[in-house]
Amino acid sequence: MGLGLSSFADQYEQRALVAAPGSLPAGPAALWVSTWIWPISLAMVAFLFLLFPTGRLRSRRWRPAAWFVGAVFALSTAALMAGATREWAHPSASFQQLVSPPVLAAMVICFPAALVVSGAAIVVRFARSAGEERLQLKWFAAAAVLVVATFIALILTNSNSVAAAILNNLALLCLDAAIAIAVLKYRLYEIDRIISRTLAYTIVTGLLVGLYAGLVLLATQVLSFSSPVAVAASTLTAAALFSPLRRRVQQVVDRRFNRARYDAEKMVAAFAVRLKDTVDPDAVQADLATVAQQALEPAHVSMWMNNGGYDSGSGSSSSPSQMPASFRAW
Amino acid sequence: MRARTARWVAGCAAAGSLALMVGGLILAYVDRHLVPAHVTNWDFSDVFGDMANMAIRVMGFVLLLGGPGTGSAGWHSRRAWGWG
Repeated sequence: MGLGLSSFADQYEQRALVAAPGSLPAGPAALWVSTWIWPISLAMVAFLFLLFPTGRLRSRRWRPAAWFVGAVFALSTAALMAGATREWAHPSASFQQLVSPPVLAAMVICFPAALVVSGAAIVVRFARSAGEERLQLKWFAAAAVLVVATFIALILTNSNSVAAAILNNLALLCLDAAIAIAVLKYRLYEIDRIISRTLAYTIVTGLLVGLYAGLVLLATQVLSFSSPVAVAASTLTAAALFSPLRRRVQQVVDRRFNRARYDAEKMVAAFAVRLKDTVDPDAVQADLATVAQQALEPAHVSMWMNNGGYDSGSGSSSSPSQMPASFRAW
Repeated sequence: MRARTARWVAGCAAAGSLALMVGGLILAYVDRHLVPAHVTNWDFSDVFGDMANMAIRVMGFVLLLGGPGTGSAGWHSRRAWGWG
């Protein structure tokens, strides 16, 4: 609500005081609102960090931190409101004229400090989280990394690059979506796969681009091949290397970031090796059930076994109840 | 606070905020030629930023819809705040 009011008040006062003076009533009031309301939106971001994803502080120890963050933003808003009221008759007053130098200095120090404290809250929560809460925080962290990266790009371009601004807004949209996924717990468990795939493709792309550029430079500058031949050979090499390299990198990344999948694949491979030497059907059934249980973690496992008299190669689509089969459940 | 009241308050806040942002965008469009170029908010990145901000309200609205048993966050957040 604060952001909406801030956005509207900005445009309203611009129209009432700059674009068409006198065309709208209460222009100074809109300017007054837009002067002091913006810290409220920032406070909401700080409290999002403090309370996400449970809606509660992590422990009672974080209460002073929450009070500090609340006090910083409340006092800043109050100081700006007082300054805006004092300068009501001077719409062109600068920010330095609104608040006294000591207050301005305190705001410059306390605003980042409050954001750092709330950022620390979510980092600590992530470090000590487990289970579903960890996955919720992983969604948030993955999107937050994008926001920070695009924000750095925005700063590096002095906020002049339209592309950087658009990327930053897209990253903010991703953050919104990540918060929604985390809170709704919809597709919560996909995050490991997303992180692992993103990392793997980023690494593979970097390696292939580096390899391609290196081969082109080697062929054209060192070995003095003609340029089109060198480019074609480099492209073919990079294309040929894509699949094996992706598989290898994916395996390495999965081992670290998508451990569940990595462990499941190891388990299935070990089962395949054991299957070659096992002759007892009961042992195979029990082993298969154990592997399925451990790899997929289903609520229960049941297995239909064909006990002969049924032609499995005929392509029949008989239902299990019509088969001469045995049923076991774990 | 009762769950229904919480839903109404949140819904009204989201709808009001969306309406204010749309109002701001309309004013930015109307004034696009009347204010100096460096002041105008009617350029692609600003409008896109406003759209991204609107998504926050839509997300808040979605999160506060639904009830217990639907798996929605409305229930989680109301429970967390002691509303439901």
